[in-house]
Amino acid sequence: MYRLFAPVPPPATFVACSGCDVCALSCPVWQQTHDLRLTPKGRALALQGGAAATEIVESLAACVMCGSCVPACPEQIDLVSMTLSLRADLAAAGVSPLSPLAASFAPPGEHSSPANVHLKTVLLAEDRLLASPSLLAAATLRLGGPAHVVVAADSGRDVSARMEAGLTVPQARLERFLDGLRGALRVVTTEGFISRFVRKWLPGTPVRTLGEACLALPETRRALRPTDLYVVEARGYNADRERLVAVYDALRHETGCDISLDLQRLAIPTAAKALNTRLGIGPVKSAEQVRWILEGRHPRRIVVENLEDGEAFRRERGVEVVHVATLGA
Amino acid sequence: MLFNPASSRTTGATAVRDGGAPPPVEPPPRGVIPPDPVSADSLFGVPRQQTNPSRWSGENWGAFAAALRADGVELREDRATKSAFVTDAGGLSLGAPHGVVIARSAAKVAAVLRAAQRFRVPVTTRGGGLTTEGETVAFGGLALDMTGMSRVKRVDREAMTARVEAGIFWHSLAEVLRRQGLDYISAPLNFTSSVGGTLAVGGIDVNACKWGCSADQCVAMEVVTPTGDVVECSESRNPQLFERVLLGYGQFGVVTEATLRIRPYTPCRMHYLFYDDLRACIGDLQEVVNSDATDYSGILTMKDRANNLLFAFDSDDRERAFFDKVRPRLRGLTETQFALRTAAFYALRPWQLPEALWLYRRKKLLLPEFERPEHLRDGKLLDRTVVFSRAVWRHWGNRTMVIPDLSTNAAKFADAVLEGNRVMRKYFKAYTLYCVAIRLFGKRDRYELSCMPPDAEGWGYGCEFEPMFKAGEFSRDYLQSFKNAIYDVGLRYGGSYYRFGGAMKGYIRRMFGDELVDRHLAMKRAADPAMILNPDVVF
Ligand SMILES: Cc1cc2nc3c(=O)[nH]c(=O)nc-3n(C[C@H](O)[C@H](O)[C@H](O)COP(=O)(O)OP(=O)(O)OC[C@H]3O[C@@H](n4cnc5c(N)ncnc54)[C@H](O)[C@@H]3O)c2cc1C
Ligand code: SF4
Ligand code: SF4
Repeated sequence: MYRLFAPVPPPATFVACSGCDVCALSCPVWQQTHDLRLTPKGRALALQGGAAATEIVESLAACVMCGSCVPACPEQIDLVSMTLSLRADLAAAGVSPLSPLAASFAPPGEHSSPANVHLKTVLLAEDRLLASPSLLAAATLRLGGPAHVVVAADSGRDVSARMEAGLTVPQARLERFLDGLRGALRVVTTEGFISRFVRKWLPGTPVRTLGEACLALPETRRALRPTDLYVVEARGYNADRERLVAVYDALRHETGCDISLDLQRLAIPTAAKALNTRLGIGPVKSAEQVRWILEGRHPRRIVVENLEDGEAFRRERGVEVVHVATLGA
Repeated sequence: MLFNPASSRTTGATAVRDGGAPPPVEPPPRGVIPPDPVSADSLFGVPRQQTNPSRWSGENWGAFAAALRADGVELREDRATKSAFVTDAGGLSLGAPHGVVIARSAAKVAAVLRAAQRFRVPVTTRGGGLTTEGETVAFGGLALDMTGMSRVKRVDREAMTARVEAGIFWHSLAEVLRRQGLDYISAPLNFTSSVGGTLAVGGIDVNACKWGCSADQCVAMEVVTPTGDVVECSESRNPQLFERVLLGYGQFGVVTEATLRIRPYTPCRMHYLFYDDLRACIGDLQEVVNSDATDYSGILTMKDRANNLLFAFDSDDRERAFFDKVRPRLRGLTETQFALRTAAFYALRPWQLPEALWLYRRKKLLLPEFERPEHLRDGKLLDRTVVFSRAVWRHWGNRTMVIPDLSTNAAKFADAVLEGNRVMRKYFKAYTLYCVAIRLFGKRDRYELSCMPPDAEGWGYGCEFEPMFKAGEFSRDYLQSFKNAIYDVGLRYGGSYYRFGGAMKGYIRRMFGDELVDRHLAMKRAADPAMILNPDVVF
C-alpha cells in the first residue's frame, strides 16, 4: 500500500542499525584505530547480537563524544545517547573506567546563589576561559557587554563530566544548575557537550556556541582571512549541525577561510576536551587529530573557538593560534 | 600458476608444500552436531539458524586458531566482535564466523591464508560488506576484516596515482585527496564500499560511461594469494594474477594494496531531464552515451512513471558543446513541463491519485537531498559522492535489502529493463530503477565471468532494480522469488549480473555455461588447493 500519511516513527535505537558504516567515516576512534568494533556500528551490532555493555567496555571507553556520528547516521539513531546509556550500564555495574575522574569534579559550593539572568545572555565558560580575565572580557564584549551578559558562576562542569561518564546527576544538583540558566535570553557555551543537553532541558531557550555568537558580528568575520584555518568546536557544532552547517558555509563563502570540517561537513574534533583523552585512556590522541586536521592544509593562522583546542594546536605546531573572541577587537 | 614465484615476497606456497599433506579432518562423533556458532539467539531458547548451510563444520578450528596465535595474529572469538559479521548489507543471509581477524599487514594476511590452507579452514574476505547475497558472510570459519588496512600510503602527483591499503573506504580516500585538489576517478555511489571489495566486483559510478568500472582504474595491486604468497601484479607484472583478481569476486587472492589512477578534482553541474516513458528515457541515455559528450550519465526512476535522465560535465566547454549538439535530439522534458504533463495524466485517472501523491511526496523528500546548499556552489555539485551516497543510504538503505540487477549489450537493454520493470510492478508498489552505461576497453580477461555482458562492444549497460524497503516489510521468500524473477529476465537476454554470487550462485552456470565455469573452477583449484578462500560464493 502507498502510505499517504506516513506515521511519525519512534526514535530509532540500535535495533535500526543497518551496519552501513557511515558513522565510522567521521569517527576519530575509527580514524585512529581502523577497528570497527570501537565505532557506533560495532556497538550497535554487538547489542543486536545480544552482547551486554560489559562485553564492550573497550568500545564504550574509546568514544570521545564528538557527536559527528549522530548527523551522519542515515537511520537517525541518536548514537551519543546510545553510547551514554551503555556507559551508564557500565557505571551501574561498577566497571566504568571514566567514573572515578568524573566523580572527582566537585559541584560549586551550595552557598553560591544564581545571578539574575532574566533577558540576559548567560555564558557557560570553560575553566581556561574563566582563568583568563582579558579573554573573558573580550568574549563578554562580543556577546553584548557586561550589562547584557552574565558569566555563569556554575558552569556545570561536574554535571557535564558525570553525564559524559554515564553517571547519574542528582536531580537536586541538576535543578540548581538549571536555575542559573532559566529565564535567560540565550545560553552561550564554549564547550558543546553540555549544550546538547541544555537544549533538551530548556526547550524554549536558544543555546548557541561562543563561536557562532562571535561570528554573528561583521567585525569578527571581516578579521578572518583566506589564509586562516578556522577550527570549529566540534561537539557544539555536531550537536546542532543541521542549523550550523549553513552558518559556517556562509562564513567560508564570505571570508574564504578554511574550516575544520570534513567532506560531509561534520566538524573534526581535536578530542582535547574528552574525559578519556584527558585521562589518557582510550586510543584517541589529540596530537593525531591535530595532525589530521592539518594534513594537506597550510594555514598562516589558526582561529579557535575553544581554548583546549587552541592548546592542542599550539603544542603540535608553531603556527599562530588566536581565539575567535579576540578577532576584530 | 597465475604468477611468477620469483616475484613473491613470501614463500607461502612452499611452506604449504613443506608442511606436507594437511592434517586429517576429524569427523565429529556420530549423532553429534559439531559446533557451528551463529549469532546469538534472537528468541530465548530458540537457536538462530544459519540461512545458508556451511559445508565445513568446524574441523581443525582449534589447531588453526592456535597456529594463528603462535604466528602473532590477533584472533577474536568473542560474541561482541562476531556479531558485526553475522550478515552483509542484504541482511538476509545469516551466518557467523568462528573467529575474526582484522587485517593489519600483507604479512599477517599471508600467515592467515597459509594456516587456512594447512588446516583447511574457510576464510571469508570482507571489505565494506556491502554485498547483498551473503558473499561476505562467513558461514563458519574465519572472517578476514580488511578495513583494518585503511591507509593512504602515497599520492604521486606526477604519475597521478594513489597507493592505498585495500580496506580503505573510497570516502576516506577522497578525504585525503581533496585536501590536495585531487579526486579518485570512479567508485560505487556508496561511500562505505572499500577499494579492495570494489576491485573484486567492478565498481560502477555514474561516470562509468566515460571511465569504465572502478576496477579499470587500478594500475597495480599487492595480492596475497590463497596459498599465502605476497605478490605485486599489474598489466606488465604477473598479468595473469592481475586479470584474475580484478573482478574476481575474491576467489584468487586478497588484495592488500592497490595503485589507483586519480585526477584533478572538479565540481560538476548536474542536469536532469524527465520522461514518463521508460523506453524513451533509455533510448536517450544511449543517445547521450554514444555522443560521448557527457562526463556522467544515468537513469534514476520513481517506479516507471517519473524517469529521470541525469547527466553532468566536468567542464563548462563540454557542457556548452553538449547543449549545442546533443540536447536538441533528446526527448526529455524540463521539470515544469513534466509536472504539467503528469498532473494532466492523473487528472484523467483519479483512481490513481494515491500513486500521484506518493510520487509528489517522494519528490519533495528526495530533491532537497540532491540540492543541499552546503554541497553546491554556483550551481555546481561540490561533493557528488557525498550527496548521492547519503541519499542512497537514507532513502534506499535498510537492514534488509536486495538489489537484483542485470546487464546486457546496448541492443537488448531497453527490452530487458522493460521486462524487469514488469516484474517490479508485480512485486512492489514503490521502487526505483537505476541504469548506467559502462565503458569496456576491448576484450580484457578480467571481464570474463564477471558482471560485464560477454557480447557487449564499446559499452555494457546495467540496471539495478531497487525496491523501497522502507515502504513495507517483505519476507525472505518473497524477496528471493522477486530476485529469481529478475534473474530469469537476465537469463532470457543472455547478459550478466553484478551480484551473481552467494545466494544467487545457482544462476552462474545457467548464465555463463559449464565450459567457462569449469575453466575458472580449474584455475581456482590450482590457485587455492584447499578451496578455502571465499568458498561458496562462486564455486
Ligand atoms: C546501498 C548500496 C548501494 C550500492 N551502490 C553501488 C553502486 O553505486 N555501484 C556499485 O558498483 N556497487 C554498488 N553497491 C554494491 C557494493 O557497493 C559493491 O559491491 C562494492 O563495491 C562492494 O565493496 P565492499 O567493500 O563493500 O566489498 P565487500 O562487500 O566487502 O566484498 C565484495 C566481494 O569482494 C571480496 N573482497 C572484499 N575485499 C577484498 C579484498 N581486499 N581482496 C579481495 N577480495 C575482496 C569479498 O569477499 C566479496 O566477495 C551498492 C551496495 C549497497 C548496499
Ligand atoms: S551510521 Fe547508523 S545505521 Fe549506519 S552503521 Fe552506524 S549506527 Fe548503524
Ligand atoms: S561521538 Fe565521536 S568518537 Fe564517539 S562514536 Fe560518535 S563519532 Fe566516534
